[in-house]
Amino acid sequence: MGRASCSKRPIPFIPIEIINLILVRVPARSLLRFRCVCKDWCNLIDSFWFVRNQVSIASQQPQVVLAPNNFPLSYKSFTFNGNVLKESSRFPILEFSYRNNNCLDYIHAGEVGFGFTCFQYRYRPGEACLFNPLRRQVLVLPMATCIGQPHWYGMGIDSTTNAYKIVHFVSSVDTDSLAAEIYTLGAKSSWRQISSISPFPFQSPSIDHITGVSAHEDMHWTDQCKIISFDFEKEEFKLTPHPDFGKSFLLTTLRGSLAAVVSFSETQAEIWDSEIQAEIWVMTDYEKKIWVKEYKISMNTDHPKFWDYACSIVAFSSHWIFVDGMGHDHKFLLDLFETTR
Amino acid sequence: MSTAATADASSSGDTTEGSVRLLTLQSEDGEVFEVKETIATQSVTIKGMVDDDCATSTIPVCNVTGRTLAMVIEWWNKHEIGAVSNEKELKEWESQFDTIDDKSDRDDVYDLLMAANYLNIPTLLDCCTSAVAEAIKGKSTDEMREFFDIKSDFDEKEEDALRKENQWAFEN
Repeated sequence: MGRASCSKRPIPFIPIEIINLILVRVPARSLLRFRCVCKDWCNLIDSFWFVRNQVSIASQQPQVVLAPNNFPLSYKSFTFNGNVLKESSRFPILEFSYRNNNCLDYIHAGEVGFGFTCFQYRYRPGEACLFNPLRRQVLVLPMATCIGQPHWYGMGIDSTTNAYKIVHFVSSVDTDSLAAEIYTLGAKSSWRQISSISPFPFQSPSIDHITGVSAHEDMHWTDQCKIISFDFEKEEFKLTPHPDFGKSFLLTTLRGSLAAVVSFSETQAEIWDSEIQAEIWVMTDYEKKIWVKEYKISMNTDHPKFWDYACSIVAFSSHWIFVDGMGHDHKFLLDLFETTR
Repeated sequence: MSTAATADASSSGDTTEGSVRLLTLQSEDGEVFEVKETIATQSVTIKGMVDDDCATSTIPVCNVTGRTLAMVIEWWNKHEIGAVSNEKELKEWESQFDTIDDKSDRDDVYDLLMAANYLNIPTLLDCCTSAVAEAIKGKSTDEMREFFDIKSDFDEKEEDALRKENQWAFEN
């Protein structure tokens, strides 16, 4: 594009819909600065549709926010330039001290989508707050009415009413079923119970696997064997079919699609063999439930059960995944382009 | 000028080259291009005209200059088969915009953006918006105003308050 041109002409007027298309691809940190450009931009960035578009494109952004496992909890923002994951601010984005400055009382319950993370109050099950570290928004949810353990939370948009909805569900204590309720943001509402599923679809629910994944407008959770999905429009749970991976798996999103990371560390029974393998399956068509095996990863680690202990996998910038091996101080960045298909 | 037409076909629009139909596009400033129908229908707008049988004579492409239309056709030719760009190709194309701060490059991207929007070419629109997003993400508020030629309509107090809401985003 080096050709000389008449460069003194005025900058053409760019319609707001094109500005919108550009801004949804900009990292959140830049957007917070660009809110100050003018009123139109501020309204655009704060608008409902913008948040929604940005979520659909967010998986392409090379930016990641990490919540450390050790307390006190402070969020840090990182940018990724293809080589180095660099801390983008000297200061933590937010130090979490919502109640009594005692963050130890909160369990980090994972991302719920739309930039929000969920925290549960340890000593009063059913009390939780949502938290957007980039915007520094804290949203305290009313006390849940469904009783059971553990507590799952998810967030989504009902496209018929354009309302944000929070879903909360538990494995009911007395009956072998899943009890669920909905909270609609904005309206002066409270939790509203919805029809439950019986029998409870998950095997031995554990606190380690309460983190869900937001993709294809639904929210998805797994117990490493089944995938249960919630449709925010119909307010229904459904089991999402997947191929028989033969192994346990974790969920993530890749380029906006639901993806399963299947670990093969167990079959490599050679404990001393340091090479472990995993496959990444991507749901390429959510309507027809088509899964495609897109990547096969081989990696060396001195922890042969690494994938089994991995507590979260974050995919970003279309071909990078970040794996957090909780409690083992194993954090990995993998470039999927370097792996074989 | 790079057009897909190789044969010296007549300019009457509805010509064929073998079994491939050629469409005649005319830019705002009167330049005429002959493009294979299979290529030009990457534009949803043109595809609609072809489907409705409205593409039999010269198609006027208003708002798009000959220079920009030539760049659009170059893009079409690159993405002819499958029309889906892979990551590497996209990177290659985007690398052209690395020096987007240079005013003439910026004008080129603006022109392409507007053309991609007018002709409704999703892949090109995707590529251009990504390129601009990449170029602006590190900019300050003032640099953004200059880049897009925008005058702030906030008073000092309002802007200060907005800044304070997200102070961390302004720190280095």
